[in-house]
Amino acid sequence: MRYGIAIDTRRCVNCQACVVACKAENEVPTGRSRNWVREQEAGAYPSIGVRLEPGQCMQCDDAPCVRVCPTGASYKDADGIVLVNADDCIGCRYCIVACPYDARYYDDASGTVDKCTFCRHRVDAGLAPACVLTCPTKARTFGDLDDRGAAVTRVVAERQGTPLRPEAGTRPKIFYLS
Amino acid sequence: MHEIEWGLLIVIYLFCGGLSAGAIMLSAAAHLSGRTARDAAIARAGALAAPLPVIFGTGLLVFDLGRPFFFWKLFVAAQPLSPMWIGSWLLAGFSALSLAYAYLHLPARWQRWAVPDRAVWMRRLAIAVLPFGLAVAVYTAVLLGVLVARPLWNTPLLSLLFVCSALSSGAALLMVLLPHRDHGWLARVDVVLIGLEIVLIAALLLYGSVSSEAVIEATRTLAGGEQAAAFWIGVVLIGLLVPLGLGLMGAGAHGTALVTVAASCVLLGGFLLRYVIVYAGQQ
Repeated sequence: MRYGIAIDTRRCVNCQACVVACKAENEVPTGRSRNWVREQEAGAYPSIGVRLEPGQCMQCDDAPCVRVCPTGASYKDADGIVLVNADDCIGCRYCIVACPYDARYYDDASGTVDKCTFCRHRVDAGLAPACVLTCPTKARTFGDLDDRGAAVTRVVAERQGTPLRPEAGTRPKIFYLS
Repeated sequence: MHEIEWGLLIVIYLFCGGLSAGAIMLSAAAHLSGRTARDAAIARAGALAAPLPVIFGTGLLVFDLGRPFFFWKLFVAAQPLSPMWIGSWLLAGFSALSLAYAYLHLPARWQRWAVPDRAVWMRRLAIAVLPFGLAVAVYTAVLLGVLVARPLWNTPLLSLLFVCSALSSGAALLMVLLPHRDHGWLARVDVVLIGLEIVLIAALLLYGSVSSEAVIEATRTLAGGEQAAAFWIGVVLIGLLVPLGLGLMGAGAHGTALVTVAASCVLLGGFLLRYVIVYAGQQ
């Protein structure tokens, strides 16, 4: 298994439902967030527009956060999901500084770092992550990138999905369709 | 604009690590190659000064953790690819070695446990602390430099710059601590190091104006953004050009005060260098 998400930026309407659903599902602390919608200017005058770019942890195959973690608290599980074992996290925040996507946050209450888990607990129960399920325009498609028949794999291939900041060389598993 | 995850405590730690590393390398060099009483004084001052900053800085590093009481997890894990994991062992080894080295340099009456063959062990430890000192100085830069996500830090130039700055701050510290007559070659060495630092900073800025878009943007936050004043006035002018000028003028000939001013400028500049790099790199 190599779980990933395809995000269709043309479908996003910046309603922030994915952000709210994630906070509710994962009890994310106030002032922190595991996902976001960023507005990017795209194109050049006169054909200029705003691209809405929902995002979260890119679940990189070659994750710098995992590599730099001095205690092994950050790890990639068998299905390619990057997780933090809070018991082993000492709160050095090296992973936050190392992430090219600013996807991690520090939780003052626990003194540890947290991040998007692809809703591992929901996936285990056969459900899609909260951000995927809640999206009213179905901008996100979740599935196994190793499965050629999976909707996510097909849509990434058909519409030539590309990751953000590929130059960082981390092989993200979130692909953007535009 | 990003949140600053690594703040002032990390800056102080990076500066202290470099200071200890620089002081101990100069001490070892003086001990191993020196002939004169001045060299012996430099060796002793460097040896005695070295453990304090690094241990203080490491303490701050632990205090900066979200869960300081779990710092021991660093030493039960095996993460050989993590610079911080390597650095933890390096700092532990360096601190222990520097304490042993300092002990041998204590006046004989303070050495409660007599060391047989003291001169031999002094020489052995001087040889041992050289690579450790270099490694600690390099590590303070590599910690930042491995991160592709931070284009300002992601260059080997940073290691060279931090090593030169560590040696330069170490020399400045020894000049503050030692009476003027014992400064010997410290002032001359410091002028050369400051010259190298200026070249390296120029190279960093040049690289930052011709490289990839991300690097250019990151360099702009250093040289033209929020940190610009601290960088140009604090690091370049006060930290480098003023002590370079004083050194080239032969400040030593004009008495202790000017030398102390120059050395203080170098120390302030060394601290501010880490400050602007750490902060600008995260903005």
